[in-house]
Order: sequence, then structure tokens, then C-alpha cells
Amino acid sequence: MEQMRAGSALRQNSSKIIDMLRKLETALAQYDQVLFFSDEGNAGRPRSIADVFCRSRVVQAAKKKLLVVLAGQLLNESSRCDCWNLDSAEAAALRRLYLLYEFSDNFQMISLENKNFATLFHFVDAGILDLEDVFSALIH
Amino acid sequence: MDHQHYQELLCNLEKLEHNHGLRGRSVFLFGHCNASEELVRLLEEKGYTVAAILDNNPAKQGTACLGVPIEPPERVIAMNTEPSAVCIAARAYASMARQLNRLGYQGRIYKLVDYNSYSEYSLSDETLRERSSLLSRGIQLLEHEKEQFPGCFRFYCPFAALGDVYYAMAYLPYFLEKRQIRRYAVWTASKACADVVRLFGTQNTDVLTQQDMDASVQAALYTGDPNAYILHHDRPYAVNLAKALHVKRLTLEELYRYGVFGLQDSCTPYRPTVRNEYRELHTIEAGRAVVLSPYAKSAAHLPASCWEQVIDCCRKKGYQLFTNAVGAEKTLPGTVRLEAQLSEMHSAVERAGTFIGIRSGLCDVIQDASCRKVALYPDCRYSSTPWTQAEVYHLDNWENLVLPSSGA
Repeated sequence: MEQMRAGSALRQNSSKIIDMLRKLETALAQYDQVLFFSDEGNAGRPRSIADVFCRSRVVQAAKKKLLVVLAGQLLNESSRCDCWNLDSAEAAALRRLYLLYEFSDNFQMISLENKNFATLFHFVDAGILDLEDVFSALIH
Repeated sequence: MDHQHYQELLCNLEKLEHNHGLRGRSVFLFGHCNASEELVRLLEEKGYTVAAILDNNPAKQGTACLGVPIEPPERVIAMNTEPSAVCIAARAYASMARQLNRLGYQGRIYKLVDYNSYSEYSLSDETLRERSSLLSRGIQLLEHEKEQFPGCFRFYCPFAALGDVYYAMAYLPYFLEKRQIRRYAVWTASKACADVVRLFGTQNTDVLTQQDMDASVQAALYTGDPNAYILHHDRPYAVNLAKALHVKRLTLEELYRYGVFGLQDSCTPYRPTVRNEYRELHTIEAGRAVVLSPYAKSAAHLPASCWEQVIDCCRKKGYQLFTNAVGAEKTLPGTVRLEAQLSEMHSAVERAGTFIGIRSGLCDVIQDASCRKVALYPDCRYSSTPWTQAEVYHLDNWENLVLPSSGA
């Protein structure tokens, strides 16, 4: 069942998903880094972590060409990062793709929490890094 | 760089030489890291001169490593007055190759190490089908693992390094308490790592091949298995806690305490509870022996001359000398072979009184033994981070000695 879901979720007869994959291929070629902010663990937070990322000092000063991908919209338009808004179905498909295999070394999925593995935000919780440090590490 | 990847590097370099891939070409490396430092040595041994190590880090540009200048990648274009080749032994091979192509580089680009068995930089239908097929294997493995230890939460230690597994186990009890886990099992990628798990009193453990481990990990992630957790800072790629090392110096232990488990400073590590007396303990002269440990999973270069000097010095002082070795590992000349189980090493080194070893996971296992303990480090970086191996693998209450490249 899971195998069927793996293949069909990504290349099913949904023209929307196929278009999303094509757009993803183009984005990977055009941007230095593509950062997908998965909303996992973000529920209840007063401000989207993607917004915080785009407005951070580190990102403002970065020379890399960055694309932020997220389900929904940024609260505030970013002058520094380009943004690609997905609907919930596209975001779910992209997440499944990311967890299927590493299809690019300049694509990262950022989630605040995950039940299967640790995230860089553990260091923030432990007081070892702050958010600027985490963002700096992400775009290194 | 671990032994497996080092062997892959050697093999690919041999193939390159055999196919005359470097003949008549200026040789560049891309990415200054432990692997590229090894590659400089290997190439020089084969009679090649490395023109430069290309690196995007401005802090490194203008410096040198092993006499080789570190330059910005654009220099390969400026210096490209003859046929050239860029060799890459870094994880970011794909982006490095892309960068060279964007710069207009026309020479050859060689990938010498494939770090990532779960990566395939393509979104083609064929790749998706192939990856889905691999996922299917992973899902079958997960079902087998669930049946093997029914009702147990499952932990995967995907990297076969004793030190990594040691710290995973040392801080695991806090995670168990936090998640209210009563029964669990641990899978590792080597028998020795499974032995480390057992040192902490955990019997529910088994070994997977690296391929099966990667498949199991990928399947656990993909299915969002609620009863699985990956115990590593750098596997799978989705975690990449090691990125934190680009902004802050952290030891391996701290990567686990803060990163993998999200714990506070107040959490102290648990210690192994299973320790056995070395069965040949009577052969070790109490307090007048030295256990030498020259082998490690990493391909750190400590030349034979280094150990010859240590042996000569200890012999003159009247010490009895042992080499800790297993399997095909050779006993150092002038020493007696010591083949102890991991659970016996603590008693063996305490009896001897002195342990001198290349920094390896074994050092973590015996870290609180009551004896003089010396850890030897090669003078090189930890991966592509700004820190040295000595900084990341530092051990408290040990003599941590960094040896120059010549081994003097």
C-alpha cells in the first residue's frame, strides 16, 4: 500500500502535482538554495518561522539567491527572498518527495519539530544557538 | 572521513590513474576538508602536484593546506591555461560541479567519493520509480523489524561509528523518559556498534547492513512511523544537525546532548553498566603496561614512525607494551597483541595504567577509565567545518595531543 502511495502520490494523474514538479526542477536550477518551510510543529506559533527567516539579519545580508517555499503566504512580503506559495496538496506532495530521497543538495525542508529525527531548532531550545545562528547554518 | 569512504577514494583514484584521467593535466581539488587533505597526500604520493584547493569560504582563501594554496573557485578559470581537472571528494559534489559549469569551466570534473546512498539528483519518472521501489524494500524491512521486537519503540543508529553510538546510548534514557517509552530496540550498522549498545544493558539490539539501514531509515521517515527515531546528527540528510558546526564549535558529545536529544546542560551522560574483566588480565603488569590503539574507523593518518617513537620511548622506560587489535589488524612490532571484547577494555586499560590511542570510538567507550589516557589526533579539519578534529572530538580528563602532518 505504501509503495503504491509513494509512486502515485507524486506522479498521479494530477496535473497540478506534475506542474509543481516541473516548477521545482526549474527552481533548483535557478536558485542557490530552495528552503521549504513545512508547517509541522508551527501550529500555534504567533508568527510563521518563514517570515522570521526572510526578515532575519543573516538572510538580509546573504549573497545567495534564495527561494522560500511554503503552504500559504508570508505574513509580510519579503524583498530579499523570492517566495513560492503552494496549496496544501502541493505542500504535502513536496514533503513526501523530500522524505522519499534526496533529489537535490540545494533543497532543504525546515520543520520546527519532527517525531522521527532532531532538527536544528533543538539547539535553540537548549539555548546553544539563537534563530539567527540557525538561519546562518541553514544557508551556509 | 571514515574507512569505507577512504577505501572508495583510493579505489576511484586508482581507476582515474588507470584511465589516464589526470595525465598531462593541472590538478585542482574543490572543497577544503579532511577528505581533500587526504587526497593531497595521495596525489603527491603518486607524483602529482595539486595546483590549488578551491573553496568558497573567504576565511580559507589566501591560506594554504599542506603547502597547497586555497583559492576561490574563480581561480581555476584564471589559471586554466592548460588542460586541467578538478577532483571533488566532498558531499556537495553536485553543487560544486554546477558552480564550475556556471563559471564556464571547460576542464574535467571528477567525483571521487559518493557520500550519499539515498541521494539521486534527478526528478525524472525513472528516478521516482526506482526510489519508490527502494522504499518498498524499506517498508518490508520495517515490518520485519516490528516483528523482531514486537511492541518496542525502534531506534536506528545509521552510522557505524562506536563513538556516535556511545553518545546516543549515553543520553537515550532522557529521551525515553520524555517520550514515556517503556520498551525499545536499537538497530546499528555494525556488530561492534551493537556491542556498544549492550554495554548500556540494552539487549534488544540487532545489526543491519548499511544498505538495509539506509532503506529502513528512509522508510521510517517517509511513512512518518510514530515508533521510530533516528539517532544521528548527520543522518539522514533531512537532519543535518552538523550544519550547526558552521556557526558554533560543538563537540561530538554536545551534538548528541543538545542536537539529537534537545537536552539541557544539566543532563549528564549515563555510563555503561556492563563491564567484564579481561580474561587475560593476569598477563598485564599492573601499572607498568601501555595499551596502544593505532586503529580507527576514520582514515586518520598517523604514520608508522609515530608509533615506533612511542614504542621506543615506552620500552626505554621499562613498560610492557600491548597493541589493541581485532581481526586482520596487525600487531605493532615489539608489542604483544591484546584482543579484548569492548566490555573488557575498561579493565584491561585500568590494569595497564596507560592507554595511548588514535582518537577513535574506543576512546569514548573507555573515557572514564582510571588510568593515564592519551588521545592522538591528526592535524586536520573535521569535515568542511572551521574546526579541527581535535576540537570536535575533544575528551575531558584526557591528554589530547595533535600530531603534525609529518607525525613527528
